[in-house]
Amino acid sequence: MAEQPEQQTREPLRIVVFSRRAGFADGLGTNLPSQQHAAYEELASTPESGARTGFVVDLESLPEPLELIRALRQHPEWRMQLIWTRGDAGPESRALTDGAFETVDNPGERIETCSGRLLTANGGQPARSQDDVLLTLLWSHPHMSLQPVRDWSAPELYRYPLLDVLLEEDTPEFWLRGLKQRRLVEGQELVDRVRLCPGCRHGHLSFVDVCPECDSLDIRTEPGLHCFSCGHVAPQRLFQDNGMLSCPNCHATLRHIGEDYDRPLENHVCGGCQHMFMEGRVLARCMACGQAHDPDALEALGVYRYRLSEAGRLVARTGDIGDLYGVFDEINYVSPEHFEFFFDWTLKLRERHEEIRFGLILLHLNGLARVIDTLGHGRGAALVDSFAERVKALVRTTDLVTRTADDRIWLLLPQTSADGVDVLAGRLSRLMEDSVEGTALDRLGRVYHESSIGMSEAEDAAAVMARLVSRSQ
Amino acid sequence: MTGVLEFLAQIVEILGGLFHETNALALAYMFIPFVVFLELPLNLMIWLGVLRYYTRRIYAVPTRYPYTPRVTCIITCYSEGGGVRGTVRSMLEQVYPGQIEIIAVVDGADQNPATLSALRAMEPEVERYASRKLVVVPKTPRGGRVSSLNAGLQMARGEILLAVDADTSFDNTMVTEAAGHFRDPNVIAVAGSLRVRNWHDNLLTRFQALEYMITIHLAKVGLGEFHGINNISGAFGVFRTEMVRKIGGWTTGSAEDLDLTLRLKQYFGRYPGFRIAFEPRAMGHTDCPATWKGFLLQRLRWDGDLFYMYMRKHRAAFSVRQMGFWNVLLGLWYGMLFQMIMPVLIVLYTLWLVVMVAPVVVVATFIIIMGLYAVLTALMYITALVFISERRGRDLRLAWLIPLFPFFAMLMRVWSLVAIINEWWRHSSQESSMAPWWVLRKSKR
Repeated sequence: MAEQPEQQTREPLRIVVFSRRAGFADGLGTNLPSQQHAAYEELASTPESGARTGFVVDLESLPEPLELIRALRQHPEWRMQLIWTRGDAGPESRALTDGAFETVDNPGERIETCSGRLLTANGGQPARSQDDVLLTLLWSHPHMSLQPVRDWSAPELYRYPLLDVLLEEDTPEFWLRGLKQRRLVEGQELVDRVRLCPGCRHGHLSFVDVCPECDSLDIRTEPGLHCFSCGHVAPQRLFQDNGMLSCPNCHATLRHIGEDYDRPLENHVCGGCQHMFMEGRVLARCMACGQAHDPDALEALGVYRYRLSEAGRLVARTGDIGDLYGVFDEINYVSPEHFEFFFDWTLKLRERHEEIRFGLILLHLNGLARVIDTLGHGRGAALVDSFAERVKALVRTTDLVTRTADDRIWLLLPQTSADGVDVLAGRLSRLMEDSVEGTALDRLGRVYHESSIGMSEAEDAAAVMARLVSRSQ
Repeated sequence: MTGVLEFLAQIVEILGGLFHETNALALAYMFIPFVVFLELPLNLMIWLGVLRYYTRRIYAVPTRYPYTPRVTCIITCYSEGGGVRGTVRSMLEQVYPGQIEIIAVVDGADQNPATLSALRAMEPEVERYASRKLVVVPKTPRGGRVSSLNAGLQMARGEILLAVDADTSFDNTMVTEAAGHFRDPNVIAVAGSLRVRNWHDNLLTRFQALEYMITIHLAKVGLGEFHGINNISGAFGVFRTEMVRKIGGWTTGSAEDLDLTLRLKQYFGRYPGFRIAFEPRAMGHTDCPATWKGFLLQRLRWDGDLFYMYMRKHRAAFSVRQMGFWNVLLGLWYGMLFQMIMPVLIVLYTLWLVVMVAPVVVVATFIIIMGLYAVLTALMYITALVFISERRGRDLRLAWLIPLFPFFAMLMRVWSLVAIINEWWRHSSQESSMAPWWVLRKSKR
């Protein structure tokens, strides 16, 4: 943070304009220093860094404005900068940019806010993964969101241009699903709901009526007649008799609808198996993989416009803090599989030797992200280090430690009475509060514990651990 | 009480002495010439015609010609509401293999939204029928039936034109039977037969059902054989579209159907081959008035219009040069003598009888005359039942009305006179409910 004023003096705010119209940059009516390029290559050849730059793209005079915007968003130097447009923007351009330049009151202020956020984002660290890039981008550009664009050639019928340009690994679909599962993004507005083939997740489906007996496509409607004289119901062709209608059953002449006969219902006949039926079966046939499914079996997918969630904003500011937990891996660490195996073994041992006592403690450090956010990365990391040191002092050499899901630290305490487990859990809980004393936060995380008395014989290690996890949520 | 009994005894005595020279019989003889010279020849002609039709039909080789021109059906709708659905559906149901274009013209569409919406709601149903098409024409200002027909004529694309009422439905072979006649290029129109759809309602509708059976179903078969169709009913007429266009469509005024028939007939003098056919197997079913008031008003209109057409509007048409000899003869005999002069003669004769002769004799004469008419009716009825009827079971259920029918017919005759006088003095055809007054006042008087 201390570096910020220094940078500001070093690099002035500027606007880079892409247009083929002469004097277009001067006509924008901004007092910021601006330079105009006619093509992307001109900018790429200049060696200047673009940390405090805003772009304006003239959509009307450039031959391929969309290609240019994509190139900017993919370039490691400029992808985080503000890009405004001038002229009629299509949905894809809108999804990749910060909106029309005319709607911006004070571009200088906007560039300043954005670059300020970019400096503090990710805990001040450079972005390491595509997640970091996307979250930082969304956080530093308050007017941007993950906007879906309708595209007939996309497998799911909609695609997210921003994901497409920032993608480094995986597919956009899996990436988005991961972001949703980790609750980093949340739906802001439901744009559409599409149905996908459960076999291949393609949205290109063809709905056809088929025969309910043999699934044949070859069905046709056939009008049926109902003779009032004898009640006979049959297809109309059987009634046709030399230019008149007469009942094939009772030979009555059917002269007037409603008086001699009527049409009971529209029915269908299968050309394959001659089955007569009222309503055909509907099948959804996937045009990608060729599978046919019942319409009820299709996967419904809500297509949303996504924005950063509360958790996403936090991660954008602090960066990936997974590595900070690594300090706990130095305390009697065993891998989670081994930990579970030992725990299971201990539970089995108790079945033979009832005098055996032991305990399980779960440290859930769910407050860490907030700590980093408030104190900054450096101070936060130091705080976690000192916390880990103090935990190490409390742990006996025979205790086993493991870590699951980044922020859940497990302690298996052999040969410990229920009172002993309570005491240790109490100390750890106090430690959670003490370590953040003097800051605006109340605690680093929560402690959950269970002694062997609380574990039934029917439970195995996985069940007990799952029980504690469910209490922590 | 004894007076009444004595009265009846005297009647029986007179009737018993029928074959002796009595006063009553002499009177009855005076009346019989009417029957012999006016009615019997007509009936004889009908019988001969029916016989000719029947023999022609049973010896005909069953042939189906590949002649299926496009047919346009103009349905004139007004305040029928959901009732029009039956008419449209019966047109959709036609087994005719050619195309049928149904033009439903709703007159005064703003006042009749129920009719319009009922028609609009039928559009998906029409989709299910191949080669059937429904065009709904909402005509916002009310202009009467003639304006609806002419609007439909403008849009018609069929070679054959059907003009039908929205309260009439049809047997599904109707178009096949009617359209077949137009194979003959000399046939310019076909009249279809009509039955009473609501015959089950009450005595009045049953009487009308019997009347339709004898005077339309049977009589027109007979007259049709001698090219003597005098009117193509407005409820159900089939025309060659080109011919209707040539004579300029329908004209303003009451009784547009009779008017059109007479104007078509005016070509018969120039084209002696032209004829109007009658097809008893082209069957329409229509609603007739179920109340005496409605019935009497309808007949007041019909008979008044007949007088108006023959005596006023188309008086000049009855010339050999215009219509040809045969049509003038039939028009004078059947149209004027039978339907206009007969009622006058019968009523005058009855009045004279009542004034001049003792009541006993009057009643006895009446019984004899009614008996004669009943016998005539029964013969006609049996002819229709045996040779023409396609629904014998239903027609048999009207048989018990035959002895009463002459009284109904007598009433009709008297009422005809009222209608003629009404038209003569009051120009009642100007008061028709078929078109608004601002249209009617422009028609020829």
